[in-house]
Amino acid sequence: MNETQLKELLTRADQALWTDSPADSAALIHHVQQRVAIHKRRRAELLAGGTLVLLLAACLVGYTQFNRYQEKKQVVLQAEVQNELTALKAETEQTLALIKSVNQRSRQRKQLTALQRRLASLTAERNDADMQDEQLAGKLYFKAQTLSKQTDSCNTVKSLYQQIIQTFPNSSYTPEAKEELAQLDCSNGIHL
Amino acid sequence: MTEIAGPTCSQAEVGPAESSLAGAFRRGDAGAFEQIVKLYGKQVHTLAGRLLAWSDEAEDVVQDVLAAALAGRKKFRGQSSLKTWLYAITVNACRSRQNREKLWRRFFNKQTTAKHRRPDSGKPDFEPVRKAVAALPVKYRQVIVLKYLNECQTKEIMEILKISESTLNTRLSRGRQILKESLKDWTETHE
Repeated sequence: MNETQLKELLTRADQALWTDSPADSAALIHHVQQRVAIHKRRRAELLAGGTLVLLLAACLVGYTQFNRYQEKKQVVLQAEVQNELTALKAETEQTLALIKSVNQRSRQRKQLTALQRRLASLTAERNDADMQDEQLAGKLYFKAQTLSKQTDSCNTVKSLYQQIIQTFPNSSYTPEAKEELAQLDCSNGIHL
Repeated sequence: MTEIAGPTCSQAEVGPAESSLAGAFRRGDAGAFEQIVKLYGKQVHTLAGRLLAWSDEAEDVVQDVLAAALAGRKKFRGQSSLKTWLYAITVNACRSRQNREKLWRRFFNKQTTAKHRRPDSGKPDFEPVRKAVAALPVKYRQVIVLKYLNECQTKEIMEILKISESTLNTRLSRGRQILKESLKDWTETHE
């Protein structure tokens, strides 16, 4: 079968197989216009749907980003608060240490004042006691001097001088009492 | 307006009448569209029917083609004739439909509901010829239909299918070969 025969065969088949005629132009235009209208409506619906989906996606993304931003902000704020708390704690500790030191010094000062007062009091007491000792030593010494003029009171005078030396060793009469006791000789009467 | 009728590729040149019609159509003139439907509706229908192996789905394809042309009228630059442009849309629409059917058959293992016209009783039965054409791969069927049934020129087929001349010749040769082999028994009995 050559090319011409093939063409002839196909043409005959085409003529035989076409039995129906196409729809008239008016009906075709009507169908096409309907189809275009449907297409437009579908496209508009798709556009609206797509816009809605995009808006929803944008809202979702925005919400997610906002949440992330809030979380980040919260983390930063927490860190700042933590830093401030740490600094405040350190300052508080320093202040407490200072207050403690001040309190300790104040207590020490009070104790010192009390000790100074006590010392002053003791010193005064000591001075009074010394004065009394001096007076008693003086009385004993003058009594011994008075008795030494009597011949039978040698042992008494000796005991008085010994009492002055033993009882009031720091008085101003003690050296004299020691000197008098050294010169006293009760075997030959009272030494003048 | 010039009356263009018949199922062939004749009068493919762009004349002044067609240029003004194309311009009006591009601007969205409803009258121009009606004129185009009147001029080319039957030709598009014939080409679609032949590309779909004389299936009654041709009318549906014509509506698809004209709707696509109406929607994409601004894309028509006037570099080719209106008919060539409409033929190109028709070829693409038929190819898309055939690909869809192929996928449908592959995944669902079902035959399509397309009906084919039966010749009147008393006439020779060309059903084997129809089956042979239908069995041709789409790229061979396109060139065979355009060349032998629509009698398009080589240049015009190249424009419609956007292929080179060598590709066109190769496809024609291969398509003819396949058809001859398919129709060998039938031609022997009818000679």
